[in-house]
Amino acid sequence: MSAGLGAAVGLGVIVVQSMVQRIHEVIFAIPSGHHLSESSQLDWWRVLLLPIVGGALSGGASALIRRWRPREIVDAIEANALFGGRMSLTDSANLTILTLISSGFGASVGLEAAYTQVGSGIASWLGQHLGFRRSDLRTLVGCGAAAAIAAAFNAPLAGAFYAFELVIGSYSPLVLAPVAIAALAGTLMVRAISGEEAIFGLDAQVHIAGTDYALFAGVGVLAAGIAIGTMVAVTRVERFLRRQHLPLWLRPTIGGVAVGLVATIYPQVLGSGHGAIQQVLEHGLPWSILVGLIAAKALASAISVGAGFRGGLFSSSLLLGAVFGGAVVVGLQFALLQVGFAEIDLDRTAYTLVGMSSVAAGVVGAPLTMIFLVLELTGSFLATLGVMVGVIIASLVVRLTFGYSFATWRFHVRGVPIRGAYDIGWLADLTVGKLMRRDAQTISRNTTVGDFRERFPLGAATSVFLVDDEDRYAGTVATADVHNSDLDDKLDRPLHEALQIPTDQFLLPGQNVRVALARFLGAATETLAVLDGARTLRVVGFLTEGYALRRYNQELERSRAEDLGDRTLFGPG
Amino acid sequence: MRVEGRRRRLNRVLTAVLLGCVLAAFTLGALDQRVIAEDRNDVLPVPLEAVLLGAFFAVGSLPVAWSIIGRIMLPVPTFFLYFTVLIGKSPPLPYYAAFAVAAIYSGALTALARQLADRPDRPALGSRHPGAGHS
Repeated sequence: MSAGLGAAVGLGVIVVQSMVQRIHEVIFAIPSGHHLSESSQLDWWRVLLLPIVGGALSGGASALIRRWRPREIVDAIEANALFGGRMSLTDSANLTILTLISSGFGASVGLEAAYTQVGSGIASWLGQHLGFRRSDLRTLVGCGAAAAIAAAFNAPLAGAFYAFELVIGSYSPLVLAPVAIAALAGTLMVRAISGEEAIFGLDAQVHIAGTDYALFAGVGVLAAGIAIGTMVAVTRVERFLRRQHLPLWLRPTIGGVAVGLVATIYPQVLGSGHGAIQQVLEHGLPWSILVGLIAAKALASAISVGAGFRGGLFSSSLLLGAVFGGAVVVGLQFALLQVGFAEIDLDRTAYTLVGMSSVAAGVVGAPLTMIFLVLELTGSFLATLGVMVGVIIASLVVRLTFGYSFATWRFHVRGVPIRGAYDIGWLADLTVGKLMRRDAQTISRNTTVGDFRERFPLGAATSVFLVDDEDRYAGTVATADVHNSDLDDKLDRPLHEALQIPTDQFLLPGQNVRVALARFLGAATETLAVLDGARTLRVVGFLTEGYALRRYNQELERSRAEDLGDRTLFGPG
Repeated sequence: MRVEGRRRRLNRVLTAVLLGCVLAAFTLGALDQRVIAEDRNDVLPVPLEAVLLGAFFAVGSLPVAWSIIGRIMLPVPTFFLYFTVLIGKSPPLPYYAAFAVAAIYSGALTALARQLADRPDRPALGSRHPGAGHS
């Protein structure tokens, strides 16, 4: 099944790719087969005006879609983290159309977000219709994403590890087979239709000396800074436009104006940037233009995504990194020449690859994907070793100083509490409402201690919940406490006078088990009442700490066992 | 509260400096794209021109009263430098288009510097929208 899915997704990727290419050829008048970002002889008026038109179209379409379906579009990572892999195919199609418009009209965004949305959307739809279980559906969504990235880059290993690192959240032997098969099928489909060539052609052999590895570590540190800067810049642009109180539909048009202005000088920023990456890898560019292009691409990408064009930063970060790596090697070579080490010849391709993969690893948050991507693009283990140094350092620095990849940063900004694709959706499903017992014993708070003892002898109920005259919650008493001999001389006094009873310790049905456990800890009690609402205060049930802990533990074990692909990991049952 | 204010101010200063560097890098690459010899007739060395433009922008974006000096210095050099880029690059823009685009660059950068120097951090009391009141 994953083979069929992979092939279908591969076909989908080709269709999207071809459509964007055709749009570029028609509206930007580029020669057939050329990439937009490698075309330096574009008509100035097209460069200036088409991103604005794209912004207007994208903004208008977004507004229409938002009116029709006002909720946020769920991507593969969010679906797997919170919704057990459930995604909407309609939303995925909408997002793909918006990305097509954005990238087609020259916005500085990548198509990978659309590819993975198509792939995982189809996979989720299929899995839901076939009645897949939660863990299997999550794996299938990962298969869709793996096939999409594998097909996009003609790189099955990179595709598979993209799914493990970003969409499924972990690697396990159980999910290896379906994900790898889907990635391979996606790649084979692309190779059957478009040919065997790697997405970036590299002819040069890579030469790396021992000292280069130390320099690669430095490149990794700086690449992390660029990655963080770009991610933060997107949010700053978004916030800046929000402060201007512009309507949502107008923001991409404003973004289009800015992208057009940048592209008038640096046309390489238009579109996903694959052509420009090839140009940098193959021929290199003068140092000053590389430095300018770093600024231009970072600005154009941040403006495009921040203004509301749809698309991702995968390709953008690859170009940004390639340009950065190219600038570093030219700068280092110049510095070596100045200090009298003219005989040392740094390998331009190696540094470009290290820069490319390090920035992308920082932004995308998938270090292994980037390492395998370079391995599959170059076929060179030497280059891969060098890239590994840069990528590991960049990922580590981003993780320690910033703590997010671009996807999780966007979730953070939106207030969605996830840090990756790890399945935490079960936690949201495990609510107090589902765990509570409904046979709560209630009694008026004005009942005397004596009456209480008669009605609830020791052993009858562990806890009883007090209510006031309007049947609203008024505290919890432990039956054992009321039977305590200290109260023997207060038999005719009402409970709320005889005992100190806090009234603010209760749970609500919608709260999840972690919130409930925190409440138990704070209240230092074994049993908490569950109320229908914080204002209405009607007792609808109760929950004990022991039961909540037991269920939490069971779900943790189940989730961990499913992640590792062994449902009997913690024993039968 | 005071620490928070100081942190916010430092953040704004760093943003101004960082954006100044970005503009300097952008300008450096742009100036080196001129292929027509007559348009490379610069008053100062190209890297110095780019750095100065970035510095004017950074000063103009600082959250201080004297940032106006940076904004006064910014528009004219920006216009002329970008005008030479746009008519000197390959393919060049027509004269009228280069003039208009350079003017937009100049105006937009000055307006952005003004906005960064004086952006509202918190809403004025009684304002309808957050951030509606300018400090």
